[in-house]
Amino acid sequence: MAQYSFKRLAFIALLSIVLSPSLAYAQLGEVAGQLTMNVSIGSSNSLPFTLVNGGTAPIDFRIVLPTMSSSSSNAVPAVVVRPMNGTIPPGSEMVLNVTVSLPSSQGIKPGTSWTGILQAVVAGNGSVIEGSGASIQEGVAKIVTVTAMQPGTSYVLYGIAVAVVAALAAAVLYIKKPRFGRRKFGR
Amino acid sequence: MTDYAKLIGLALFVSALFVAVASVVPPIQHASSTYTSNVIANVAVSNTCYVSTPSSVNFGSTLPSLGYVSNVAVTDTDNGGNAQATISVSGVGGSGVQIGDWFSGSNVIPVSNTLWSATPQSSYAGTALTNSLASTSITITAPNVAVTSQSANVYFGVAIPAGAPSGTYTQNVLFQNSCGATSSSYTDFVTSVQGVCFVSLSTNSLSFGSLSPGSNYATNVVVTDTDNGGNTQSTVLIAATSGSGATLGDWIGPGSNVIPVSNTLWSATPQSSYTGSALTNSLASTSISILAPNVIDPSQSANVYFGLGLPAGTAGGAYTQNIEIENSC
Repeated sequence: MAQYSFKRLAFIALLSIVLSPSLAYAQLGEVAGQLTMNVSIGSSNSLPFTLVNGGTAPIDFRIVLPTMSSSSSNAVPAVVVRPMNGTIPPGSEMVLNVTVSLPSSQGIKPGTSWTGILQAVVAGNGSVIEGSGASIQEGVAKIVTVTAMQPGTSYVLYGIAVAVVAALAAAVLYIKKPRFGRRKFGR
Repeated sequence: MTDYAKLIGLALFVSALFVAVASVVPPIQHASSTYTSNVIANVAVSNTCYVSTPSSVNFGSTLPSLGYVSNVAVTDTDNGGNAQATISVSGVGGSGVQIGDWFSGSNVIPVSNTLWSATPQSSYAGTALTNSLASTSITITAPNVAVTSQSANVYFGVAIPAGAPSGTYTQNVLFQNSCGATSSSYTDFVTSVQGVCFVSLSTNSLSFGSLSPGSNYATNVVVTDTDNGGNTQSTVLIAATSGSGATLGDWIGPGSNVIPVSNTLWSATPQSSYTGSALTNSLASTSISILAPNVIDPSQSANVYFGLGLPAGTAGGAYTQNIEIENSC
């Protein structure tokens, strides 16, 4: 009886091991909401793009950068995403950093907008087709909207300039001010 | 009896009376003398334990189907008590069947989705919180004159159900220290559930079988796109990504033979003929939406149907195409 139970347990354990890979699954997701950012001309801005693995198996992903297009400008913002690929553990999030830069030398006007679609695709899950057929890959997409803003004022530079002017003014006043020792008395 | 004898008898009587009175009456105390007396004072010091917990504990931001492992510490402090206390916990607030639950407006997460543990856990593990006071068996050492404050941690974890709507959820938790007498404190647990959508396809390959040049396959080869456990409506986008340059998205065959990407059609409904929208090599919205999953229906899905037409004169051989289906929310 004990031997039978052992065999049965061994069989169940073996069956579990055999079936376990098929029970594990991966499910890519993204945190809701558009990536909308205002970027000063000649500057850059960053936003997080959060991917989620809602499954029980790790997900290998790769990023497909957006092709930014505008109806009013031929200039193209530079989009950088870090990291560009990776593995998301089961039941976890991964926050990617999306940075958009606008050049200062391409005649971009404030108010110009671009849109594009940032993609995170599950790497390598498309089946290899024997003969004719289509392999299908799954992923998530995020619409990226960028609006150009007036070049930003650097408050640091502004502060330095004010300090320099104030120092010069003080120096001039000090030089022009009659010194105590030069005053003449009794006349 | 002579007068002399009477006088002697009277003297003896007076002496005896003096002795008797002196033995009964205490001696007169003079101010310069010291005398002692005992007074017994009584005071009963009762066993007392106090409780102090944070007014709120913010678990942070999380997602449906995820949550927090049981390592969020809540420190229960007895400051000034004198007896060992045992900690009991309970979810409170709400009414009816929802007593003790997490609340975000009318949305709830069951009280039992909160677990407690005496030690920090590396996973979502522990004993389910209930809406009736339950002893944790966690004790706080009795404070004393040298160490007037003692504390113990209770560790909590929370599982956010699949399909739980986004929002800020709050659960009110009662901590009660017991040492014969009891003291109570309330702490608000707070967590923010974000919106999320998932993508899961029923298949990763499509086969249109063997077709003759100039023939086509009806737009009815289905791919089911499922959002399992999200909480936000998503839009389905598709594109073909095989090939490169001028043949981007095309079906790639033997040699340099291709079938244009636009010969693949897609439709939101099954078609009995080769009809639908042409597939493109840039990601395009299909206008197919997947409803937001919820706690009752945590899995929602939509179908995309594909068809294929072969141009006349297509060279024989096996052709392949890569299609991406993506959800956006």
